[in-house]
Amino acid sequence: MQRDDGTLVQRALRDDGTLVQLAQRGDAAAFGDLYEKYFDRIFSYVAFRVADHATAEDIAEQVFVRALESIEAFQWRGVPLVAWLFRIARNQVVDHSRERVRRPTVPLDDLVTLSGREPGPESAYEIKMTRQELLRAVEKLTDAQQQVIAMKFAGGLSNSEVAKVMNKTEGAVKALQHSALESLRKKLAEKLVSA
Amino acid sequence: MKRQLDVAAQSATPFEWACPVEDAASTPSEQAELLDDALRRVSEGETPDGVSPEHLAVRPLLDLALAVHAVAPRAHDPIARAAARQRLERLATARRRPRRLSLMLRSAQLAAAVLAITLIVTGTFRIADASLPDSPVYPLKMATEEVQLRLAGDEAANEQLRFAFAQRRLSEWEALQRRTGDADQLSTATERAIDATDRLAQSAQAEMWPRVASLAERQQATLQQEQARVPEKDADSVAKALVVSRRGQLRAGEAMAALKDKAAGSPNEASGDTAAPRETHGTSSRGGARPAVDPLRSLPGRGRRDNVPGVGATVSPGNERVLSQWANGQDVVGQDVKAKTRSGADQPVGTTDVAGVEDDRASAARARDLSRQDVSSAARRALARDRDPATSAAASPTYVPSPKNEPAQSGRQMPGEAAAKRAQPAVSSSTVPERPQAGGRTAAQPAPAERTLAQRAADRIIEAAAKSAANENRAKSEGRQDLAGRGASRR
Repeated sequence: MQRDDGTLVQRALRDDGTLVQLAQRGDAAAFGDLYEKYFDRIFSYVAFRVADHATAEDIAEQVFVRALESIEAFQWRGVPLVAWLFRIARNQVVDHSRERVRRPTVPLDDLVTLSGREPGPESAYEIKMTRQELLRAVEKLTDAQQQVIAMKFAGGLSNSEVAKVMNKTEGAVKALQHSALESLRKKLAEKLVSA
Repeated sequence: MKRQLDVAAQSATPFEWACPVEDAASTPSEQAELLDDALRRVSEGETPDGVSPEHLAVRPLLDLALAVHAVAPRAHDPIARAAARQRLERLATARRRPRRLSLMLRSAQLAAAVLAITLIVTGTFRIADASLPDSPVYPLKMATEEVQLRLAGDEAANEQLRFAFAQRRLSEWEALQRRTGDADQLSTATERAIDATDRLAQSAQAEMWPRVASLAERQQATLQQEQARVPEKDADSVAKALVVSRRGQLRAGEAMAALKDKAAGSPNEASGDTAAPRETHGTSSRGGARPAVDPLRSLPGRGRRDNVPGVGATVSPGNERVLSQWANGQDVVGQDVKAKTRSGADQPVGTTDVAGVEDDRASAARARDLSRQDVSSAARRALARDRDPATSAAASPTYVPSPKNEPAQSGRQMPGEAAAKRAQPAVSSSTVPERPQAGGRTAAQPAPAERTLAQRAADRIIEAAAKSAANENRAKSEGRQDLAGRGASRR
């Protein structure tokens, strides 16, 4: 057990470069470690874009299947592994969006779970409405603004990583981030005033 | 960053997002920088309320960002996640084995394909190399030879190749002759073999002459075999080929005799007595009324076929007729000779060489001229080596002509006899002052055991020519005297 813990710690400390090299040589466990390391962020990003939880899980898993198919061709050319994975995820989401109408409904149970806190009877309506309005307002942003919002606040990418995925500069990402939030704020304010 | 944002997001009140941004005087880029800086501080552990007052302007946007982060979905099923990981690892393991296997298979397939192609190409070239003119791959053989000739480094290598290819043509012809094959194929092979040797004889350097002469001798033996077995209608072409072959053989013999003559006559030339050697030659052909050398030598249209101004690429049939008559021992002195122009018309170009008939000395002089023009520096070096008794003895065994091969003395002269009589004085009887050679001998009187390479080769040519002349004479006596004339007229 002691040895296992040591092995796990040792494996967890391995950086992306080592894991990628091992995975490229056919080390399945190394690729499993990469999956563990990045699945949450990929899933959050995908789920933010497609809303349906099961579909998001399928797409996130498909992202890693595609990554496995292409891992031998992956080369460190200024693009970090996480940016490479998010590029695959973005393409998967785009493919999925072309196939079916996006976001038919927002399941209520996701709201409760994903908010991180159990809503009380008096706040459930408020949170539910807020989330629905928020996601619908996000859908009305431009695609670039949606990408930045999803990658930064769901996927947890830094400005530089978002810039790598989107082939933009960090300044452009900051501007997109600001314009997206400002646009979102205005849309929500209009909704509140009309309500 | 996510964990810090999670904490901060829980403190945000939903309706605070809708508040307008304060300090509208700042530019959007400045606000973007302020917002990004505030987000960075919160992600590093500060609370939204704890950020500096300068960030108040972007506080509503900061709260909205935290709210978006708060509602972002998160994976919540560790069992499903572990199952997904197992599926991926199985997939990764399954992908590794087939890839290695398929890589090995692909390598094996590639190696097999390369091997097969190599075998096919090599096998085809080998088959082509051993093919005869009636084989479908024979053109490949000819093409390969052409490529080899083009790639030959220098003239000597090119000549060696042409000699080897001429030998091949002769072997192919002999092989076809042994078969009961197509008469057309045999005829084509005959022409090819004769042509290859003839071309070689026209351009050969001194070192190649003995080999050319030997090849021509073998060729004539084959021709005589063919002459004896072909039907009379095809005998014309055989007779024509005999004429061409003998011409090449005599050319080689004559050139070698000239070389010997030069070796013997060089002291005289050095002393300015250029006329002396002519007086030493006999007049053996005077009574024979037949030129001792090719009677067409001095006429345009003879020799190289492509260098006669105003005359076409082919020699007129009339020329060949004269040549054929001469080869058969008939009198051809003073006959008109024509050459075919480019338009196809026969054009008179002169008469046969009277000088050659009148005096063998004239032909000897021409032979010397020829040797001056044609003998290369390599041939001179070879000659110098032959003069050295030490290297000569080491280079080749002693040659003693066989008495049975001596040409028979008859009333009528044949080409071989003429060549013998022409060549012999040049090497055996000279009245010019002898110049001591290396080793104390003279070039004009070589001891039998010290005969030079050129002299020995010339003797072989002379013997072969005499033998073929005797054979031809025998054939004529059997009623085939007119074949040569008719064969030449077809050409």
